[in-house]
Amino acid sequence: MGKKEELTEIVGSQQVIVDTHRLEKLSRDESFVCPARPAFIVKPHNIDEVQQIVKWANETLTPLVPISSGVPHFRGDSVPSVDGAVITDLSDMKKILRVDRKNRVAMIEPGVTFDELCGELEKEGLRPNMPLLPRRRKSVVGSVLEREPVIMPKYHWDIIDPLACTEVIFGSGDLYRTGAASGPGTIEEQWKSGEAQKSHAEPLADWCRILQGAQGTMGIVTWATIRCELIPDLEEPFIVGSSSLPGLFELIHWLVRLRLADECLVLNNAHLAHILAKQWPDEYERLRDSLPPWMLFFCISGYEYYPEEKVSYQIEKMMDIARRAGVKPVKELDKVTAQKLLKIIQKPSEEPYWKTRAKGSCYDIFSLATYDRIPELIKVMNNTAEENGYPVADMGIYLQPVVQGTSYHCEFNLFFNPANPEEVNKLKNLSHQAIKPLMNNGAFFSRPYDTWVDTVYEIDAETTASLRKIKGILDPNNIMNPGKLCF
Amino acid sequence: MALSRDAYQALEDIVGADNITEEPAILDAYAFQWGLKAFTGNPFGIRYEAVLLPGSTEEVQAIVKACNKHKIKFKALSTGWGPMNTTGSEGTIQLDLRRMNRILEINEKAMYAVVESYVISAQLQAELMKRGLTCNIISAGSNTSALPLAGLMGCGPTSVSTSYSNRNILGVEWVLPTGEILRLGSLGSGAGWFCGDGPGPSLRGIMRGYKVPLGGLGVFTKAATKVYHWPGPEVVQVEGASPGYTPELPDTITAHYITFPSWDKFTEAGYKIGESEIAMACDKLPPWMLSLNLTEDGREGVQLFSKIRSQTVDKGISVLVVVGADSQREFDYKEKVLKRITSETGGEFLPLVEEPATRKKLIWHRVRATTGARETFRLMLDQGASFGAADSWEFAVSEAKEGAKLKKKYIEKGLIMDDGADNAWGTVYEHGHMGHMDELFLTDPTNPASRQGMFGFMQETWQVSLEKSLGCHQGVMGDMGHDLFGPRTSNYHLWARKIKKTFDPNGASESSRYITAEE
Repeated sequence: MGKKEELTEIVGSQQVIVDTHRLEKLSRDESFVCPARPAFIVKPHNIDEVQQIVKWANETLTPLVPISSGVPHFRGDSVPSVDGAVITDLSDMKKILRVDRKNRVAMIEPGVTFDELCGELEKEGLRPNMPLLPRRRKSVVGSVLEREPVIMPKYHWDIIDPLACTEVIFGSGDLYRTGAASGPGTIEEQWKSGEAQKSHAEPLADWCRILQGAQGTMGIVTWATIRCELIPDLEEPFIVGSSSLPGLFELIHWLVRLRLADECLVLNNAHLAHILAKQWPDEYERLRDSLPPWMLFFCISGYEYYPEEKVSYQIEKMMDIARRAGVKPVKELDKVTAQKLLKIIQKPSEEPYWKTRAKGSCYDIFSLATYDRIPELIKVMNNTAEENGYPVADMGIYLQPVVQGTSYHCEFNLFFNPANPEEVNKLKNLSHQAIKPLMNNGAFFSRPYDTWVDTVYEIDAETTASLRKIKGILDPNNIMNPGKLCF
Repeated sequence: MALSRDAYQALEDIVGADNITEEPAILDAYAFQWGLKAFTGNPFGIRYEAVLLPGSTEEVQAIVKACNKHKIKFKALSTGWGPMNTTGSEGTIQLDLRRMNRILEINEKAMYAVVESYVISAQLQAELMKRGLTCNIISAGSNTSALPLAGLMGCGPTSVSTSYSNRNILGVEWVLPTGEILRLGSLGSGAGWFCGDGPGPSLRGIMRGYKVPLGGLGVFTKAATKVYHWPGPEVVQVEGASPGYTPELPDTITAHYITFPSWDKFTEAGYKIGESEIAMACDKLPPWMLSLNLTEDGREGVQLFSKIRSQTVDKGISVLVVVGADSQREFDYKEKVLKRITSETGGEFLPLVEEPATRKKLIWHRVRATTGARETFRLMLDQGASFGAADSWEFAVSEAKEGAKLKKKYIEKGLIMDDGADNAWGTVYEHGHMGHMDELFLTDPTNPASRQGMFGFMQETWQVSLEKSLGCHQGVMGDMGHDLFGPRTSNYHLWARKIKKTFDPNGASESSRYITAEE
């Protein structure tokens, strides 16, 4: 029996895809990693099938590449690094298993998208702490496993948030439940005792942290619990325009420290213009040129108890801080209203995905850094862009305070036309050249992708060695997405 | 089994003759843990072969390498409290990290502090307050290490607003059991202390679970911890002596002790107080502990407990809430919300705590965590804790309910001291997102019947946890405990053993209180 037949026995013939066009589509993405065509796409329905697939892969030493989000993919992590891989597509596992209002948590399978989750949560008065404008077909589980930054830093207590517990089939084929979900008892028994699978750690380890940022190299997650937040009763959003960052950083520090703001993020003019523009290039250029170089957006919210009173004293306090920081929060800036922006960022992106609207694709370079290093990182990127002929004025920049303001996700968006080889080549060089100088100036690539990986790991031998030991424990035959990260 | 002279000399060459000893009297002092008496009948554990006081990470690394070479086990200690700090193996040396006591950085704008292992929370908090900041202090007290890898569980009275150790950790410097230095996250990439995760998977995942490895997986020498806003003065003037500290605090910081008519109402109030983000501290401080906190000696404590019993234990379940604000408007809002929640849930304020002098004492007890040791040792008995796994607030309450129910039997038999049965301490975490509760109990370690009562109670609570899915207790330590809970808990013990075996192939890091590699 061939591999296709063996997989068909596990999931059924409809769920094993050999269509050349679809395989070709997943052999590459919008990044610069080398294409490699998968042998099949297999679409399991449930954990039993996932476990059988992983066991089969161990027996046949077949590489598995798990995916859960719809195309387009952008970072190369879902492109096989070796030939003959089987893409394990979890997008059919779409159950929302539980929404628990009291404990602000949802248990979902990996095929559930932000759009689907938001709808269900809303019925219970909840909302996810979302990344900024994820694409409509982005898997929530995929997003939290990748440690995507979220837009409400005050609820981002730990970098693992909003991920809580998971059920996973490790690369070894073993089933494991992380965190409080590990037991004692079944999940249903745990619910009876009031447990809600919120604690991500087991007694002696915190395996969820190993699954996060692993790009599918450790195992396949079959459900996860996600921390959620309440939908406010009252929202007062603001925008602060500025030609420089220090005043904005000062205000952000206090907004997060005093827990004044829910949503809180910074965009440059090109980034915001890309989000808002519907007509290209006229409307985009007009917006980009009319907006100030930097915009801080934040929202002060009131909840169940006396929301007006809460929002009122918080606005008073915020205004006082803003005055001292020398910046001016407003409700409207160059015809962009804070209310409109709030509504936009509280949902996934409209189609087509905002990053692809202008030129067809976008390459993101992102890292973590403390606030004081960011101006230098911007200088480095501007210089590298100029050297490679990329128009600096069109480079999007997104700064997201994370983990309650201890650092910032610093993201550079390089919009490009994938059909233009010259443009692609320039961008390839740019991305390659930027990483080291960014690292030398305080950038930490906690989530390395694509061609950055080697540069990132080569300076930290002990972490690399330790990660390889862990990989040996969880995936001894190296069947899970081999070739990614330092594996 | 004394160390070979070669080995001793090698260790002395690393730390210098002044920082190593094998004097029996000193070794006995390090083997002494009062809490051990309840378990073994003897407060002295196995004697260490030598005690070393390394002064730097480099010295720790050299010691660990020498241990691997000379086949010696090592166990590191920071402020050390409880039987888990003793060794379970002959042939172990103790690394006392007290010379590593520097606060290396306080980054006010990025809201973190970097500490060495022996910085205590009182020391760190005093420095933070000068900058309008504070930190999570574990409930064992402010005299314990501020390293977020030192305390067993890492939660404290202010965890509702300051989270708990496992989720406050950023960059970490870790001497692995084989002697390599692992620098987690941004630190390993040379970018600073602000992140402990990545590149790629986070090695925080093997470093600890919700419990720390208790010295069984190398030595944590430095770590960064998140810090939080402090709405009080930069320097707090304090008068009086322990436990009657009276701090000078603004009127915008206050405390209330509220008793709810049932567990359900208590639970509901915990969620509401959490979600409304009005509390700086929100912990279930049982009336028994409250009484001991507020009095000068054990007798007075028992008397006060008798006095407030009818207003607390007999009426329901109590919580202590500290409210703090930067402005009068903020304070008024928070107080108004608390009163409304109390009214909605049928709560009653304890008049004693509404008195300004009492209130101030209690605020300081919670913010400064000054009372852990007092509750424990005041009566010259021993205090144990059962349950203590963390998850939702409702789950934590289930643990407390079950603990009180079981304990009642032992109180009635006279084997466990009458603390009102419900003597669970616990707290809401992160404004209602989670909760923790451990059931405290008092036994007489000098009385064999009382010790047997303790064992019986512990055994029953473990059994109930397994049967009713009430989590893996904080007191589950060592192979025996993990081999009992592991098979019903996703076999976490087998995976932990793989970590131990892989990262400590020579078994140098003494791990009888954590887990050994033995299947």
